[in-house]
Amino acid sequence: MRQSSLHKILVCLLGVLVAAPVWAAKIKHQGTLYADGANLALNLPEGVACNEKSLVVADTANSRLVRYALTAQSLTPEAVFPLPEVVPLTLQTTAAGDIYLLNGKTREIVKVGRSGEVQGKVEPKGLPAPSAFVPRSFKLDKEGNIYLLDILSERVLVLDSSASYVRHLPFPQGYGFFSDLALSPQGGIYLLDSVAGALYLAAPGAQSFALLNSNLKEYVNFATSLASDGRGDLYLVDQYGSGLAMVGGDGGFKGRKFGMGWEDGQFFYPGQLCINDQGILAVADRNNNRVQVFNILED
Amino acid sequence: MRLREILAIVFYAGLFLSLFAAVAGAEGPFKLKPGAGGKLCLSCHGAFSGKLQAKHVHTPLAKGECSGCHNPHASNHGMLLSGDANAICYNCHDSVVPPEAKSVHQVVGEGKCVACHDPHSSDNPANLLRGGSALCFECHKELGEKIAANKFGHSPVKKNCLGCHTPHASAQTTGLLTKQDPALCLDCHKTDGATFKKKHMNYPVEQARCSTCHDPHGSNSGAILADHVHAPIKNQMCAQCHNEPDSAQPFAVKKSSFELCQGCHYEMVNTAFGKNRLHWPLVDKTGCINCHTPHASSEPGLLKDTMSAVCGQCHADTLARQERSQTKHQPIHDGECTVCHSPHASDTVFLQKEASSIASCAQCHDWQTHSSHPIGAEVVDPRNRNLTLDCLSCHRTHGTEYVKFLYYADVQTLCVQCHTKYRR
Repeated sequence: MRQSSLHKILVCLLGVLVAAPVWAAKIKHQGTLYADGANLALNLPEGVACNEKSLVVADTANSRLVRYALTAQSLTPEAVFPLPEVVPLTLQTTAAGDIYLLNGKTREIVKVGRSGEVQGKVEPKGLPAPSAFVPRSFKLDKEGNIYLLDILSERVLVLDSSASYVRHLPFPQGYGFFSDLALSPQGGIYLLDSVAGALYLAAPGAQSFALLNSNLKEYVNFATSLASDGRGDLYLVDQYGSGLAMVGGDGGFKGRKFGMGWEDGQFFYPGQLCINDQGILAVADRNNNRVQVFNILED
Repeated sequence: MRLREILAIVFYAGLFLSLFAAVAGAEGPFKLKPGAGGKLCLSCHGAFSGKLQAKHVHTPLAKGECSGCHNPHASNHGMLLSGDANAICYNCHDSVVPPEAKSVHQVVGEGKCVACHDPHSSDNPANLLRGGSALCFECHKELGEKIAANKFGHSPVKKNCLGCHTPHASAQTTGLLTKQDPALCLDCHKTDGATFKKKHMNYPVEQARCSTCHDPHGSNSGAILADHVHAPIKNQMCAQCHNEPDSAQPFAVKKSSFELCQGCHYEMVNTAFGKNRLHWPLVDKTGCINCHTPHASSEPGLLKDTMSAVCGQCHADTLARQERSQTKHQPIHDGECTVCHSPHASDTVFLQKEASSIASCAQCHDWQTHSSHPIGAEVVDPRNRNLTLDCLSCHRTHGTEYVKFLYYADVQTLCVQCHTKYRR
């Protein structure tokens, strides 16, 4: 091969490497949850939440929650909380083990105690007008503050752990439809626009959202779930594209993993994802009737 | 230097420049003999002499400058054009599309000027292929047929589309309108008459967009209201939703989102709210009018647009998948999303009408009457012990890159996903 041709090829390869997004972290499949301790299969699990000690699954079509104990990165079925008349969609857990869920039927946030007792719905106190709200999703921070994605009144409501109003941030102009939000380790709030394929950030203390990335549609079909990994990166579940995408805290696309299928490491219309401080990443693999658990490995 | 010498230098310099320009002009880029130009071309292309007799001749041709568009020697483009056929017109007509135009005629954006214009000559003004609206209806056939069949016509539409539309692009308006409505409508329609006011329940509609109720192309409803009219409009009960006409904000609505519609459509809203899964846009700030228009529509169900356009506002990926699919799924292709999906709410994922994909598909595909691969609640999917086999085990209903919505390129690859002992 002539030297000039070799040179051209090397330049092209370098160009491809520079242009291609870099997946910053490796994700290793750890295990798949198919059933509870009594071997009753999960049925269309839509949500999953994890802390350092446990992982809770919203077993949506079975109207129940299933908790798995997380020890030395192994998962053991621990408890089942039947919730008749409830359609649990997305979940969050506190460090103490309390569970908050979004009930798809009533569109309310319901609090469930560590032992599975329903403690009632979250009723915000002291809301400024308008008082009506519809939560599409929500997140908890480490202090137990609740961040509600209120699609009816186009705002993110911040409530303290007793559901008293703290503040709110209006949705930005010109958005498509917000499906989820996430919290940065520093206290920033991210918004995921599924329709426009856009990501917004309200920096800590900011009163409004700023557009971070409006080109996610190049990489994802219809992303519906968003989580921060605690290191500043964000993970998105691409429900329609059955995959996972990673975005930096600045909104820059970092890579895409997995695809549609039935084997481990493949998804079939996944729902919520959660990430804990130990680097456990779990995805409610909804239409595969299971939850897949992964480890995020350092670079 | 004396003044006389300076004037002499200026004179000779001017003379030299004039002669140079004349020589350069006479030779042109192809160094043709002076006066040759189009005459030379016509010595072979004799049929074109007829073109020159037309009422309107394209300026370069009239001047005999065939080489304005064609290269007489060789070209990488058809018809020996000296540039890309979809771009060459813009060499001269570069102001046809204003910068940051709000609307651009698709053919103009694609550079397909010859779809409407004859590049040489025509008996129609602007070298158009045909005169009047007949040219427009060659592409906008369905609209042309609708206009012809409408019970109630809009007279300017019957005369000429260009009465309201600009053919190339518009810097200021949507839909290639010469003015945005209501300004466009108010050019002809006076709004200060008693009858007009009475018909519009004294609402200051001259400040609103007429096309939210009226179909400017005509319709089968009186006053060219769009074919499907919301009952309160039909019954002149605007105040059922809006403030009183003499209030400070007469067009403001009395409640927001679904709460406004719930007043009448309580049954539908209550049924939807009783389901396990709601279509979320129903309860966002915009609510029902994410998909419906509140006044009148040419689409059934007061949809804002065709069903595929309405659903495609958010689910563009789904429609794009169908477009790419080798095999078309009839309901999607026909824009009938509600054959399978319940648009307001459902107890099942994907807001499917039926509880299982088997039941959903069976509405059209009567697989039960034929022999079939085992499917159903008793047949466990070998790939995943928590799944049973159904239609979605092998087919992706919105389409794949492969035939028959299969997940894989060929049937064998699909089958060996489960029948692993036959893998090669």
